[in-house]
Amino acid sequence: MDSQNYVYWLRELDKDDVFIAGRKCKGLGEMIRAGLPVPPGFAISLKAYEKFIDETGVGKAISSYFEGIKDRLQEDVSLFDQASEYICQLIESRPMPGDIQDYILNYYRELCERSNVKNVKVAVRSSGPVSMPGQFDTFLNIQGEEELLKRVKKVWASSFNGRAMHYRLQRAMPVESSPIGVAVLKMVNAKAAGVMFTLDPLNGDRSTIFIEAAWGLGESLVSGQVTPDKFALNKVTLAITKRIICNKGIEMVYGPEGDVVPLEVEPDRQNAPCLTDEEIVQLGGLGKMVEANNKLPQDIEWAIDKDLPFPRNIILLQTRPETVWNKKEAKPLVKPNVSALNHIASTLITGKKIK
Amino acid sequence: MSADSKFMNPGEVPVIPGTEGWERMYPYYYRFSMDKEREDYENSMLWYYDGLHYPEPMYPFDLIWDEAWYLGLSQYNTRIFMVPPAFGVDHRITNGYIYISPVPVTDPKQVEERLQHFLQRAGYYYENWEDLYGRWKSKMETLIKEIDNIEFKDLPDMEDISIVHEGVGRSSGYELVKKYDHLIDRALLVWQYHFEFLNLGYAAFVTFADFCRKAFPGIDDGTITRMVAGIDVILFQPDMQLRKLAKSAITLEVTDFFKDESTPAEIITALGENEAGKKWLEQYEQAQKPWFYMSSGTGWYHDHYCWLDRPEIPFMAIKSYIKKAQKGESLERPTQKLVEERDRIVAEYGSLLRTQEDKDAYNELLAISQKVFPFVEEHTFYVEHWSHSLFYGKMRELSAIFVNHGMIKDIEDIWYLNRFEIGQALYDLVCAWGTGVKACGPSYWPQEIEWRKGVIEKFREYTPPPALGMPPEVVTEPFTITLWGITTDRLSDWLDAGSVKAEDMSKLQGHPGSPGIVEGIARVVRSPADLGLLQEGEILVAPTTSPSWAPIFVKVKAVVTDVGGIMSHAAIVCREYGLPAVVGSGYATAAIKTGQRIKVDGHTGKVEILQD
Repeated sequence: MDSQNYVYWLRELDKDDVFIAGRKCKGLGEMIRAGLPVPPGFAISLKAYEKFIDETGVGKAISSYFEGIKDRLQEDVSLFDQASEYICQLIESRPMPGDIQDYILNYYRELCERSNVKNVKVAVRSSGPVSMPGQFDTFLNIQGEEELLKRVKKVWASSFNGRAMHYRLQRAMPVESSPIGVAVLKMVNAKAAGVMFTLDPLNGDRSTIFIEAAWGLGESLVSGQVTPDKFALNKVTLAITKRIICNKGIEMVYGPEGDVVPLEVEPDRQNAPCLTDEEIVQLGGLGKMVEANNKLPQDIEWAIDKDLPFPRNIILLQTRPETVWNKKEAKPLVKPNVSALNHIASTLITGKKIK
Repeated sequence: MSADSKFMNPGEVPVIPGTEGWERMYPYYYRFSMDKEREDYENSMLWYYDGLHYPEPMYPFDLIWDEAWYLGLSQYNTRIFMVPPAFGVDHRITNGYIYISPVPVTDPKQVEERLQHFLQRAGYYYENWEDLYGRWKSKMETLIKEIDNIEFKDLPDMEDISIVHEGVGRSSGYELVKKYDHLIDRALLVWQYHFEFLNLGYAAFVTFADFCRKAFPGIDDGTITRMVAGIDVILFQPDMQLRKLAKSAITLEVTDFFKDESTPAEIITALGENEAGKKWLEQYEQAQKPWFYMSSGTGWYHDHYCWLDRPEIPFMAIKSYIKKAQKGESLERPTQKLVEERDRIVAEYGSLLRTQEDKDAYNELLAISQKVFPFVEEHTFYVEHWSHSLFYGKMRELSAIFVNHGMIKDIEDIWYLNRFEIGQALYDLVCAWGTGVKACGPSYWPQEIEWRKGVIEKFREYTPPPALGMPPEVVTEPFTITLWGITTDRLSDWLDAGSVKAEDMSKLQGHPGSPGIVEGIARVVRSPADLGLLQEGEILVAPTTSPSWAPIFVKVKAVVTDVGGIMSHAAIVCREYGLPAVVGSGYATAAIKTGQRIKVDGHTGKVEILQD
């Protein structure tokens, strides 16, 4: 499909492609190339945004609007809110140029096909070329073509929300222009979800991978509403070394409004492990890869997608360096320059405490 | 475990009705509570049941191996290598079962003095390990040849004329006594050599294992062993021979002779009438020495017959390997892959260490452990399999002479006499032969043996408690830790379990011997003789297992044992075969009954009885 550089599959993006569709899209592309499973999806480029702004005349309208208020912006913060309201309304009211709309919808249809789901639910996420964490909007659980196009424009518009404009002004960036990309990702239809540490959070053991898992979305785990199943793996051999299965009475699912709601788990599933052995081992292997890429033990959020077959059903949602043990200074366990023989003698002398 | 936790005192062990007087079957120094002073000492020590070696009650003669290692192990700790904090391991017997107790060096000054000697002496052995181990092998081979050369012949009515012509000056009677003494002497010498390296081998391994556990708290014992284990050790040779024979049966196109219902004798006869079959038989002959001296058990009992005595064992395995190969499965052991996997594991653990000091210590301790480990793994074949099997064969030759003279009724009765009693009976026999009168033994031993058989049977029905006496603060004796797995947790489990009758237990806790979780039907096997009952896919529950049970490892789903630590040879082979195993569960054979459905968790060491 020739998309004229307006839309890309995530796997087409690589580490130098931050100015094609923003940081998030680039990061996801990189992860796919490293063999790490992220939610399937596509990227809408900065160029698509620019074409929209140009062809609809929105760009000119914004420039002239700012021309009128720019001298007062520094003093009067309330002007941001008025500007935001005006511009967002402007963007959302203009129809998308036909070719861009077709490209986006073609990709969406193919995503539906690949996921084997009609009108697959997606997350529509902003992806700016510079890091502005939490400044733009993200929409979850979007379903259908019309809704999708509407939310893409809303994401574009969110680069003109008050927070974002203020942020740009503070850093001497142009306030009236900020092209952003959009990531359209399949919503994970989570059978189970959880966290994975590529060390043992209890003792810092780097040869252990530790997993907590619950039915449904990961929110139940984060909010502490469910005692999760716990699994440990030997990081070197990927043997499962521990499994503690807990009673999981509720699971979190998406409600009709896209909000997260608790649901009672049917009795026969409550005490069943929410991961299979092959899923545990597969997850552990992915944890090792993420750690190797980032050179530090990681704290990873993941989910298992009901719509996809194993092993493609395991999806990594987020990964960051583990914070507690990574910060501790590494102290040697042994005294330096002790011979093996002396180690042996001292082991013998210490013996094994049995009381 | 609370400080006042204590097992029952040895003197409180109940007497089994009908066995009164059992003590006379064993040497006097094996008894508990001979006098007040000794009793006080015994009550202050921890005595644990050595079910690892003795899943069955002791036959008076088989006690010879216990006597052999009582001295062998202890002297190397106490008098030769001067292990700083540990003297030897003391032995007793009660109700037919052996209890042992590690003896600590309690005076810190003495520990300090011993340390200097230890560093010098052990240091010499570690430094010259390969050279000394090479010498060890040739010493053992010479010794084994000597045992093989001993021949027991019945006494002649009249001595040969050569005794006169050659001026020999002594009789066949004297020679017979001497040969028996020589055989016993060689057997004890085998066990002197057995411990030449073993104490140091375990000490090095324990140190490496300790370091690994400190650096990687989540590491399991199986993985530590995998890092140091040899890939091509001779313990696997007997099994390799069987695989080779199976392959050769396929190449020579003689597999049709290996019918399920055919006995080894029938197969051998049939093969002998066929050209290709004869070729196979030649290879079969070649494979036998020494590999078929592999015992069907641990080699510690006279009825652990070796493959030479019981060809149905190797034949059963050859048949199952032929079937495997015909199904397209490979019979090769992926040696190269195993080596690569071991090296990868070693390197990956090394890379997880964060400081140079730790990396150095890891590499040094790993190197020394890998150096000592071949001995740890290989000595069993030389000693328990090859030497013991030969030895028992020679003893049966002597026993036949006893039977000829009416001293005992059956060749297999000789095991009810201890080694000193056999010396006496032999002297009795020889004197009577020399004098031309009837010996005393024939009117004494047969009825004594009948009584002893009854006693041993009663012992067999009794489940010995896992420990007696007072647990110490610290265990420093390397064997106690590595081989028997005596740790706080284990003793606590035993103390807890002691309050529940074994038959009423539904859950058992042991060591995770080999990873994996399975459910299945249990088969309790108390001695190698019961192995034939095992059905495909059952879970083997045994007091202890032996790598020589290779033919049955391909049949079972998992293994549970009463006794054993991470280095029990059985655990090593279970990991090799990829079978889940829980070892050292204490009471499995008492709590689990054949036919029960059980769940074995080789990760956590838990065994659960699911239903009857």
